[in-house]
Amino acid sequence: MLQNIFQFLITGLTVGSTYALIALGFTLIFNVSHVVNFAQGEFVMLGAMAAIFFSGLKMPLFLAIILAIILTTFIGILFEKFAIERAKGASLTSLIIITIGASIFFRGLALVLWGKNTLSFQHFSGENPIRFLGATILPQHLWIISLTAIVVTVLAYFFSKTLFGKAILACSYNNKASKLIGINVNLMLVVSYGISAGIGALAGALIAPISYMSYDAGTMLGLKGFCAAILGGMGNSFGSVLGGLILGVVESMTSGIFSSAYKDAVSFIILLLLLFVRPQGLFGKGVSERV
Amino acid sequence: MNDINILIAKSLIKNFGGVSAISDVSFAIKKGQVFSIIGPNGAGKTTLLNMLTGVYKIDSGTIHFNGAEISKFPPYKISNLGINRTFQNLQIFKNMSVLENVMVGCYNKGTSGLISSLFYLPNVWKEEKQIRQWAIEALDFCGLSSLIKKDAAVLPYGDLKRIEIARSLASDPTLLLLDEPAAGLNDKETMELLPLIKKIRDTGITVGLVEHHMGLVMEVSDAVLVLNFGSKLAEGNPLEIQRNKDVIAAYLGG
Amino acid sequence: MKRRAGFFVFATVLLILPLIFKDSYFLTVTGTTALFNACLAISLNLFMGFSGQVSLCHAAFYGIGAYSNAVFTTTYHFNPWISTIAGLFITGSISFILARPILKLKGHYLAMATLGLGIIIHIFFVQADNITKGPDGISGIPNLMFGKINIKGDATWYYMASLLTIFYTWLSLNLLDSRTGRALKAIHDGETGAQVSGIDTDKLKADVFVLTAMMASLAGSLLAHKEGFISPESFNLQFSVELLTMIVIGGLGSIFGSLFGAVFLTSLPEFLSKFEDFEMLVYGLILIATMIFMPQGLYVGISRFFTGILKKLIKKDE
Repeated sequence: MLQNIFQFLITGLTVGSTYALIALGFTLIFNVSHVVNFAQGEFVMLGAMAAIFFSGLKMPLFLAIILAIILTTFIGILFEKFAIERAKGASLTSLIIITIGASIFFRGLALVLWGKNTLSFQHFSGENPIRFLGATILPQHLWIISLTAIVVTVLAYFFSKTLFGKAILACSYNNKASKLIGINVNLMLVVSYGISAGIGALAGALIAPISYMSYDAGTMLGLKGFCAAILGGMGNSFGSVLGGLILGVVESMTSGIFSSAYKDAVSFIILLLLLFVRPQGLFGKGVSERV
Repeated sequence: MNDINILIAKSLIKNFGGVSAISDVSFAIKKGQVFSIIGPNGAGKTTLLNMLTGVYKIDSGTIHFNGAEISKFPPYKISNLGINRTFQNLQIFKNMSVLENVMVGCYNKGTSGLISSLFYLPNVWKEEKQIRQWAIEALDFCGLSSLIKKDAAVLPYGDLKRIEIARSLASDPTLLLLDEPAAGLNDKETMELLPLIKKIRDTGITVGLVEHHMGLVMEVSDAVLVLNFGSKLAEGNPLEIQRNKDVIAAYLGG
Repeated sequence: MKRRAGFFVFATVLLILPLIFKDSYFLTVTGTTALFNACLAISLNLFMGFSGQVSLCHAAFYGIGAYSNAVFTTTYHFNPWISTIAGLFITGSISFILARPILKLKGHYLAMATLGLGIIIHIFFVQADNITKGPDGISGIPNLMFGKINIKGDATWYYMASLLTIFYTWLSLNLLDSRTGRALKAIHDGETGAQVSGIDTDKLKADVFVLTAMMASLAGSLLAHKEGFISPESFNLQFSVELLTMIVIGGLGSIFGSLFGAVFLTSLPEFLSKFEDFEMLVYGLILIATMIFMPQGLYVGISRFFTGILKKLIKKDE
């Protein structure tokens, strides 16, 4: 039993890491532009599909992944430039619809490029399992967990130590004031969408070997990332990473111990309960409204 | 005019995240009076108004209105008991016409519910006519008859302030609270406000006035409460307040 | 009064159309689907357009209605009408219990909560196979009967859908010009202002949530009998999103806009099918472009455009 639990924990942390990456992407865009990007999951899908495509061209694996990330980043930037930036001052619902439109568009794009087939992706370094404390760990699990840790560390450094990162943070605190002190808010938006798409693409490439990919696989992943972001407190990067890990573990435990049929429902039931009891998330601060 | 207290506030306290906004403020408003609340910026005047109308939950203290305790009531209940108000930053319904805005003010006088409205039962039809009539009267009273058919979104600030007053009056309040009605108005508009407030008082409605414009306050008020840094600094009739050393110091010292 | 006139013209046109386009497959099949969607859009518009809330679980309530009739008539051999009432009761109860906690939330949080609820209900349709028969769906749902009259065939269902659409339109128009309708619009424009005007905003929002959920449920109950077969995929998140886009494309708050949006987006794939795989691409682009260039919706945008031209023409004549 204890061995099983350890197994579920490893699987949960692996899946949770990808949720964490997706949630980070959400948080970044939400902070800078106050838009909840419903197309985040599609960045994940595009990254995975592109990586599979490039590696199919006999490219070295890591070149394929890097190209996929660059391509998705570029798509994220175009999306910001040609949709979000043009809709300045639009209402919340309009912005939600724009990102929903984009998610449909990206799915359509993937459909045209790669068809409806479900594709699989090679494991980064073989599929020989490692036995550890009675649990079976795939090398891919380690790849996912460690790369996520690296990305989170690099991002934390970027936002707290570099001027550019600080400028992005400033925009998220106060858009107008940032403009007044000479920060190019538009550039920051472009950069955030780019980074966010890039992180999403990495998450996609990481998870593709252990969970098949198709043009419509991004939606559920995006929603899980969304749950993670809310779980951690919308807008709180640290929280969204923890939220992702917690969600991954809870999901894997419930499907392992009870039944996998309602695995997806668990995330959303947690989401609902949390929103009812503590809408600011586990790690967010309450905000009081002024009249 | 008589000596019945229509509203009694005792030891009101409100904190925002550890910062004291209102500390231990007590006062009473007499029926039929114009009762003004003044004080420098940030003294807590609007906060106090928000507490009286249930928009903010009070941390401690009690509020009695017409003998009944309303301290923990939500805004809609307080409104239905007869306290209505306007807003410093305006709460105009921008997607509606002027008439519709004021018709919303009559909400408490209607009875038709969701189901009867959906099927437009005869009582809804009758009530609609009546509400329209009440709204027109309230607009007339405030001198806004010419704006009835206009969309609220296109009107200037000064008009919107009056429309809010009309909307509040349409509910037949016993106590009307005006939150800085003169703020943002030009001199001419402010001077038009003076007779309107007197006219409202003359219909028997008690008026609570939060205002910066001292000329207006001293002219219409029967009693004045002065707040400073969330505490009561002084209370009395306009003449007493004008001579009060603490008040003068607070205003001059900023 | 203008609205009333518009309503009578609309109702008449809807009922006369089949007489003009006799045996039109497009009208009776795509048209009927469009009208079912219009009913959903109109009800969703009451909640979103009028009262300014967000819901991404409307398709789930539609599904509860449909599943109620499918399960009760096939497994338990209930009368379809009793099944419909059961569906209304189930939807009403679920939405009533959840209304207050959900509607405390605003903006993105409300969108997320309703999205979550919709997904949970959908997962139930897929996974509870002892009740819902799982992903394969339920077939063999009997015909609807009015006394001894059997309701079947495309043309008959076109009329059924038209009547329901006309009924929902009538309800919405009535509400718009009433004390309660104004209160809803007031909530949309500013909740504090509405509360201070004596409106119990929490209760009213909850009431409208329950009402619109039940309107969706009723449409779903009828749908089950029209199709004879239902499966979970008709009630997924994607369909909730599609309904949302219908009312936004039509113009939030506009009843005829919702109708227009439903008809437009339902028939769009018919026209886009020439593009085959490019269908989704074009669909996504249309959504984005509409929101950027006509954020008030296509219906409102286009009608303003034409009245603008009309005004110019009239001026030239003078």
